[in-house]
Amino acid sequence: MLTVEHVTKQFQETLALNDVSFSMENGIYGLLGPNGSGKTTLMRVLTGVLAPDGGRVRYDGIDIRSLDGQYRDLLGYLPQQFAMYEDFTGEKFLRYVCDLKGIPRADARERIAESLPIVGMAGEEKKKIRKLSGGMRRRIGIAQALLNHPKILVLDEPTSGLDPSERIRLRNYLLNLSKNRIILLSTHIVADLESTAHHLLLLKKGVLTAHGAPAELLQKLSGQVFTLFCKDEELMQIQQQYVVSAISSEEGGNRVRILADNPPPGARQTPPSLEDLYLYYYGETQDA
Amino acid sequence: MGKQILWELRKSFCRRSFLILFAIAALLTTWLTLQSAQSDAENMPSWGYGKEYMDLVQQYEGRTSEEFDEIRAEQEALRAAHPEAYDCEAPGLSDQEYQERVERSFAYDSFLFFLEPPNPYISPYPFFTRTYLKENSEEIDAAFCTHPDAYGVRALQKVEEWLAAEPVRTVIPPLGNQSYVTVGLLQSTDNGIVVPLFTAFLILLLAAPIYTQEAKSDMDALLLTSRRGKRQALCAKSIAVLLSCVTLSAVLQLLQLLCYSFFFSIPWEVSFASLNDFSSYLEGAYVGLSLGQVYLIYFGLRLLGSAALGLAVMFLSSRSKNPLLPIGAGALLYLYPFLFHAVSSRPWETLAEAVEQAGKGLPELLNWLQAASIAGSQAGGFLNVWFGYYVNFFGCPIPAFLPAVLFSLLVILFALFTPGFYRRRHLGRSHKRKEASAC
Repeated sequence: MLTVEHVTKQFQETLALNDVSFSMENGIYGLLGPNGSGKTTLMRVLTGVLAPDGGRVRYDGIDIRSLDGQYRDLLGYLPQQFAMYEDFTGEKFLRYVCDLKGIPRADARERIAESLPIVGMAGEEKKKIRKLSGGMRRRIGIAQALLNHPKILVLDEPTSGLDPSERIRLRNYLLNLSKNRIILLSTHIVADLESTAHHLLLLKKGVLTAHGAPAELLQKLSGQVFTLFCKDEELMQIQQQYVVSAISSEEGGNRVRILADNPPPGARQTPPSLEDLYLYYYGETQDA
Repeated sequence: MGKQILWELRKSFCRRSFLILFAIAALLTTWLTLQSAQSDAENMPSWGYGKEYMDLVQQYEGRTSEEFDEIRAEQEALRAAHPEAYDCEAPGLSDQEYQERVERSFAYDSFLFFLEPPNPYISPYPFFTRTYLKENSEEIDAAFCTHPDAYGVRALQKVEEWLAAEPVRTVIPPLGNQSYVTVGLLQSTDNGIVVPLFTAFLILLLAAPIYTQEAKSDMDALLLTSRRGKRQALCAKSIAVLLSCVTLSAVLQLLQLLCYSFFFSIPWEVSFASLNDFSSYLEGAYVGLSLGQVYLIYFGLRLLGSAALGLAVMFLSSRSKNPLLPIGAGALLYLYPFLFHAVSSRPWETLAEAVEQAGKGLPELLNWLQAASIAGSQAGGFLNVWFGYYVNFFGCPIPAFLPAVLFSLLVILFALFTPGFYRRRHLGRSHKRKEASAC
């Protein structure tokens, strides 16, 4: 079990994490929050890249600082903006990471061979990284995180730049992995978490505003999500009055999905989704 | 650890772009050195390495300051006896022609006694004068003064006559001229400058991205979260930089040596202290050492300087995300002695002199600052692997390098802690320390 206890991190005047506490067991944990909410900082604290100014992170009751190398052996980490070495080929880079992770050379080949198909990069490993597209680089990044069969997998926006089929493939793979691993992933694509996350963590300006199983969190929105049909001229007024999570054009008007305590006449209640939940906590603007 | 070092070498030294630059630098070094050596060989006067000359050179090996004083006294007497010698300007030659003619021959050594006052920075060049001026003063007078319009040509003829020289081209390959070779190999003047310049340039390009590329690509996060990345990989960086810088410097120096070997048979066994061009810097240094031994010392010191510069730049790299910062700071460190030389109102002088001055007069602080600046420039001069004019600043023989060696070793020692600084910068203070302070 990985436990985060009252973790605080400050960068000059900015309080990036403010007394964050939660714990994680095997399963997929989705970290949600707008830009600047502290997601990456939290991940860097969890991986030991950053030391918290206050609080601590424990793994099975032991401070990760004390575990040091043993803890790093358990980790697989995909940083957010991960450029790698452009002169290396994908395979060479993975061999390098194997050496960094202390994987014996004999095993390294096997691990690389098994990780590349997972991310759909089999056959592309001889290409120089500089010649790979953003999505392919991301996939190599994910592959390196998996090389040491980590017990704790921390993925910072793993699906950004991936095409839909790759996202689905990765989601399914992570779901399989999560049976005996802790997986923490942050993403802006809420749909990635909808079908996979066992637990959600919602950060806002460094504060953990909510956490729990998606169903529990969605329960809070029960009875607050509606759909209604409106004409074009009414749309503006509805957008001003309610939090609108989706608009789709239909013949003669628009189908609008809104969050509301007091819905307008004609609105029909509908089950909440994670996007509704995101809007509920963060509003429609990034810095809400 | 071996694997990590190999990876770090692949990332820095074995980058294709760097290898191309290295190859260009090596080719340029070869080409410029060949040009220089060829030019030296063509311009070498035949009498420069005649037996008589060699005998004279050997005669003054291990000379003492008393002997210098004796020689200076002789010069003064000669100049007093021939006051007209100071007026011996060649009416038919322009200044440039005069300089070219004079500087291309060892007759210049003789001219200096007549044309220039004694100068502590340009030594008395005693080899010819002590014997020849004593015995041939009248002929010299005739050659230099009674026929001033022809003294350049006549002087050369006279000296060649005196030394019964062999023809120029036939003696160059087997014997070589220590002085020319030594200037090319050891001094920073003329084309010899290319080696330290190229070495420094390559070191800056090699060491500056060592940490900045990790920060730029966010690989630092991966390094610090992997089993061997946090310690071994960071230590491997220091070792890789050390190896790379030493290799760079060694390859370029050996290339230079190889090029000279095509034109000269380098007389490694000849006494270094007897070499004419170094007489002004020696003041008793290198007594008893051959050219080969001194070259080895220089070679080693240049490797040390290269390693120190590389590691210093690597340390700067760990503090920045932009490689331009360590490149700029490293270049400044390299060029500092020359900038100091350019802007200082006082020329090169010994630290001892500056310290002595510091105790006198009102602007004491200024003098102390000057002394500190000189010490810094000497240490910096060592760092930048450019030794020609730093041979004897501390007024001692070989141990004169001691402060500079210590400085370089300190730089290396400090830079070897870079991984620790780097981790500390990322990870901040340890929990234990924080807890202790909280308690």
